[in-house]
This record gives sequence, structure tokens and C-alpha cells, in this order.
Amino acid sequence: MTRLALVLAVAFLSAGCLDVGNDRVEQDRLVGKATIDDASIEVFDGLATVRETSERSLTLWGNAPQFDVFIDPGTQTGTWTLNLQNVMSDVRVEIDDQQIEPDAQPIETRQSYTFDLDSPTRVSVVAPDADDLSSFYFIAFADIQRRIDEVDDIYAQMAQFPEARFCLISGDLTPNGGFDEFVRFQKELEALPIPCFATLGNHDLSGDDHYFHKFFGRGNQSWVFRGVRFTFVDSATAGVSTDAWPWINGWLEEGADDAHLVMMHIPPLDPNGFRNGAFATRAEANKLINKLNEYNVDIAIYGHVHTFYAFTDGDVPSYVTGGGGGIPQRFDGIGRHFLLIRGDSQTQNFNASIERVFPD
Amino acid sequence: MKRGFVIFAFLIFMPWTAFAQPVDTVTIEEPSPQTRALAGAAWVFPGVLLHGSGAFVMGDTETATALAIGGGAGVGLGAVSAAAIWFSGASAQILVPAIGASVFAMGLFATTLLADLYAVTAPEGGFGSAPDSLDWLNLRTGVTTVSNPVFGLQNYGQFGAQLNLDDWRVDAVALVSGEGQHQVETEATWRFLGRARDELNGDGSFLGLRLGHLNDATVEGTAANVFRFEAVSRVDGKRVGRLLDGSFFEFSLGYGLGWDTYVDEEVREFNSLLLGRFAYGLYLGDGGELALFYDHDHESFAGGLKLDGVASGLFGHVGLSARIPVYDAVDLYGEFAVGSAAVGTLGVSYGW
Repeated sequence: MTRLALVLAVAFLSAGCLDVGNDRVEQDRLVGKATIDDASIEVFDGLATVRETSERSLTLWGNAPQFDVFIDPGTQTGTWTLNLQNVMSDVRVEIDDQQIEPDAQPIETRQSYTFDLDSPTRVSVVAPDADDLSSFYFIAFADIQRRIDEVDDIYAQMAQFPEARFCLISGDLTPNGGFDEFVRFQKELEALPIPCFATLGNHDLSGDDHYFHKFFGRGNQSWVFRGVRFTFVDSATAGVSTDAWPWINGWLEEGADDAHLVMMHIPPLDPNGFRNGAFATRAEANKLINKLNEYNVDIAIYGHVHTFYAFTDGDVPSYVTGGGGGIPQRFDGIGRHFLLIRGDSQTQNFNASIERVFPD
Repeated sequence: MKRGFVIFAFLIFMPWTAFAQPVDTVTIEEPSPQTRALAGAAWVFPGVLLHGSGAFVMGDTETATALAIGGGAGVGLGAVSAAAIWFSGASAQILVPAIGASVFAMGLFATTLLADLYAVTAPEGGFGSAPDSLDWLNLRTGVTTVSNPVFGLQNYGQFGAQLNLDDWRVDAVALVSGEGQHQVETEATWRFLGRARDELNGDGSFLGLRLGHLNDATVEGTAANVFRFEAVSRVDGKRVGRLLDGSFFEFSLGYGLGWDTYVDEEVREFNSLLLGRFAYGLYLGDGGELALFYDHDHESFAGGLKLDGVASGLFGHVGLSARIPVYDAVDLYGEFAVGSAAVGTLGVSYGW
């Protein structure tokens, strides 16, 4: 009995050490929150990152098509400046349903506004077509890693699809998650005329520095655009962190009756199980896939494996699109690529077409 | 694909070159404490790089040479297979031989390193030997505790039986929880090389083929069914070198094919997985044993190691297993493994 108790105790203690990734969930909770002396800022649901602050000035990096930010100016009442980065060129800013004019003509994904704040105020960044339920296009890709020098090829080809409202990248923006690497990724992104919303991959882990969260925002998040729910899951450590499961369960439940896209970096199951470029344990993979099926997810987008697969996770149409530039899977004739996807909230259909990028 | 299986077969048969060697029964003088201390230092350096250094200092060049070749082969095979995986972008066309070879290479490297430590520390003849015969029937019962951060603490009752018929072994084990979750594993092993069940005479070496089936209904709403095809082997240490008498190596490689069902069996999905396991262990008394192992099986409770880095999910789990004779035909057995979950098993068996 003593031995049994010992085994149980060791198992319990070991499990505590095995709970990987919850530190990133804590980082998720911090995204979009900042203070400037006695002024406070909070982006609802962490859908944008506070990149810079100074007296009565705020710069936000969007990680969703639209979002709200609550600003309590404290004693810093007066004229505020709001700089927006990584937003769609036609978003508008509203306070109390009144549209604010931008300071200048928006430059692709960047905008700037000034307005007076005398009291705590909700500022909304609104996409003009957010309530349009007709079909629309967006782009998905992943795994740029070391080929950042040539990512402009991909962006140039993406720019040939002006109908695409935004781009999604399902992780591995960088080779090793270094500060300079994220700076470089952001710099190259300036060539893309549409915003790029991201979750992180295993190559974007930065230890305790959590650069991804500081640059681009949450790994786990969910939002709705044109009737389609988009849910990002942080699977960068080959699983879902225990503290993220309540969020994911909630988002899946909320999106059960809607068109719903779920995106993460490491897929629960690798289409080639022998390789297992997938979750660390099949049990956890099956738990997630069961949830995706139970709550009628309509499409799943993954990265991590450097090729293209169209397959199903149970009944969920799924795609691996790891063609951003990481060492490509040989002999498959795929190479660099991205997906152009048409989403339709009314039919709950997503049609994906692969766009190859040369040289591959 | 055929080429892959040829390489696969070569890898699994490789340890059997040891069978060409006669069992060395020469008794030598007990080394002095100074020699053992020096050998221990040599095991650390250069032994971590050049396996067999400890055995060499102990004066057993035959064992030292075998371990150096085994460790070197592990490094070489590991480098080649890792390079193949890396530069091919983990291409589906080379996965079977390349990943199988990389697991086998890890096994060669790890087991020869552990064997050298055994050579340095174990007394002449080790701590025990393989039994003279295997029970024709062995029944066991125990408890398995799984502590997985995602699923919480799960406790299972374990009930198993093993039937040994000359060259065949049949195993069945069922795990059942109080909440009705269950896992049933059955397997049949044909030991086509090695001594028959009742003629072991202290040599547990064998080479065999195993066919198994796993039914896992431990995750709510899902069930997994996997058929497993494996080549399995055990090589007693005395076949490799005199100083390894009383220890054993184990290697297995295989392939799993199966299907998962979701939403209470409304949805089905086929899958596959790589099976690979290696262990180094020592015999305890007559029929007992203790082994350190690595298991690449991501389908099991322990699954793969989660790491806060790039390689998370890539590797399987590690563990320690033991069987200790306690009275007459009664053995205590246990296992502790750590991957995505910590899994502990403790039980008692009775053999006839």
C-alpha cells in the first residue's frame, strides 16, 4: 500500500511538471492591456496588442478584422492619438456610434486617428462589411521559418488577389522565436496590402520572453467576421494547454450553429501517422477532434508539416498548408504555396484552392 | 515501400549478429575498487562519446569493442536518418525507414551507454539470470494510475493473462475504470528464433513477430482501434560480452494501423503510427528483472513527451519496468512511464 501511495504521489507530482504551455495562456490574458500613468487601456478579448504607449497616445496591432478598446484616460483627458497597425484599409473608428475621420488617407494596413477623451470611453474599430453575410475570400498559409528573405514572393502573389480581405498564418512565422526574427517578419509584412492575423507555432516559442504575444497577440482567440467564426488555438507545444480548454470549449459551443473555422499550428493528427507531426498524444488529439466534430466545425487549417494535405478529421474538412518556406517536403511536387479560401456563412461552406509560389 | 521494409528488417535483425558469438563462461578475477573507480570515470569520459570505455578499463576488450561498435553505429545511423528526415522535409516517401532507423539508432546509443555502466558496476554474473523456463500460464492483476494534465487523474483496475506455448506467447490485458472507461490489448508473439518456453536454461534471448490489437475507449466520446505489427527481440547481455552477463537488450519496431471513432461512433477516421521500443535491463534473482525503456508509441496513456520547445511531441515516453519474485510462483510487477502523462502500474502475478 505504501508503494502504491508512492507511485500515485510521484505520478501526481510528475503531472504538474507535464502541464506545458499554461504560461502562454497567462500571456494571452495580458494581451491588449496597458496603463499610461493613471490611464488604462483594455482591448476586448485581447484581439489587438498594445504596441506602444506614450502620453495620450496609443498604438495597437490588430489580430482580428475588428475590435473594441476601452480607454480610461484618468487625468490625461484631452486629445488622444490612436495608431492602428495590421488592420484592413477600410476599417473605420467609431466612438458612441459616431465615426471618427482618420488623420490622413490610410496607408494599406496602417491608420491614425485623433479624438478628444474626457471620460472612460469605448472606441470601436469596425470593418464596414462585418455584417455582410455574403461569401468572401481570405488567405491562409504557415511555416515561413528561415525563408524570410524570399517571403516577398509569396506576398506579391497574395496581392494578386485583391478580393482577399485578410490573411491568416497558422504559426512558424520565425525560425527560432528570436526578437530580431519577429522584427524581420513584421518588416516584411509591410509588403502585404492586407492584414495578417496569426497564431504561433513551435518555432515561435521564445521561452519566458513570449515575443509572439508582445508583437502579434494571443495564441488562443476567437472572433466573428461576416457571420463566420474564426477560432485560433495555440498548439505550439503539440497539444492544448489545460487552461486554454475552457476557452476552446466555449468558442466551439458558441460557433456550433455558425460557419466555423478553427486554425492551429500543429495538427491533432498527422495525415501520415507514422511521422506524427502532430499532438504528443493521440488521446488528446482525439479529444479535440471529437469536439470539432461534436460542435460542427466546418473547416480546420493547420501548418507544421511542410506540404499540402487536404483530408478530414472525422467529418471536418481539414487542410495542412505548411508552404511558407520552411524546408519543403521533397518528392511531393508541392513546395511553397498558400490557400485562397472562400467562406460562406449562409451555406457554411469553405472552398479552398491552392496557389503555388515559384521558385518552390 | 519495399526498400523501406528491407531496411526495416535489416535493422531489427542487426542485434542477432550477437547470436554468432559463443557464450563466454570464463571466470575472471574480481576487479579492484581502484579499477572500478577508474572504469566509472572512463564511463563518463570518454565513455559518453566512446561507448565501452568503462568495460575497456575493466579489462574486457571484447565487451568494450562490441559496445563501441554498437554506440558508434547508433551515432552513425542516427546522423544519417536525421539528415534524411531533415533534408527531405520529413518526406512521406522515406518516412518508414528513416524514422524507424532513427528510433533504432537512439536505442543503440542509449542501450550501449547503459550497458557500459552495467559492465562497470555489476558484480560478475550480474544480479540474476533469465529463468530456466517460462510459466505456461501467468495471471496478473493490479492498478494503473494515469495522471494527465488534460484528463486529470484516472485510476484503472488491471487484469491480464499470458499463455506460453513453446514458440508462441499470447497476452491479453484489460484496464477498466470505475467510470466505465476501458482499454483492452491482445497480442500474439511468435518467437521464431530462441529457445523454447521450457528450455530457456538461463538464456532469455529471442527474436519474434508480434501481432496485436488495441481497443481504447478511455477518452469520452471516442474509441481507438489499432492493429499492431511488430518485430520484437531480446538479446541477453552475455551474448554481447562477458561483463554484460545478467543483463539484456530489447528492441522492437513496427507499424500500427487502425481507426478512431468520434461523437459516440458516428464518425470514423483511419490512422497509422510508428511503433518502436528499446530497453536495457538486468535480471534480478531467478526470473525477476528491471529495465529502463523508451517507447515511441504515441497511442498509449503516456504518449509523447511535451517539451517547451521546437521538438515537443516528437519523442515518445520513457519509463522503468520491474518484475520481482516475492514468493514461490508469485511476482510483484510495476511500471512507471512519463510522456504527456505520468503512468504508474503496480500489481501481482501468479504463474503455473
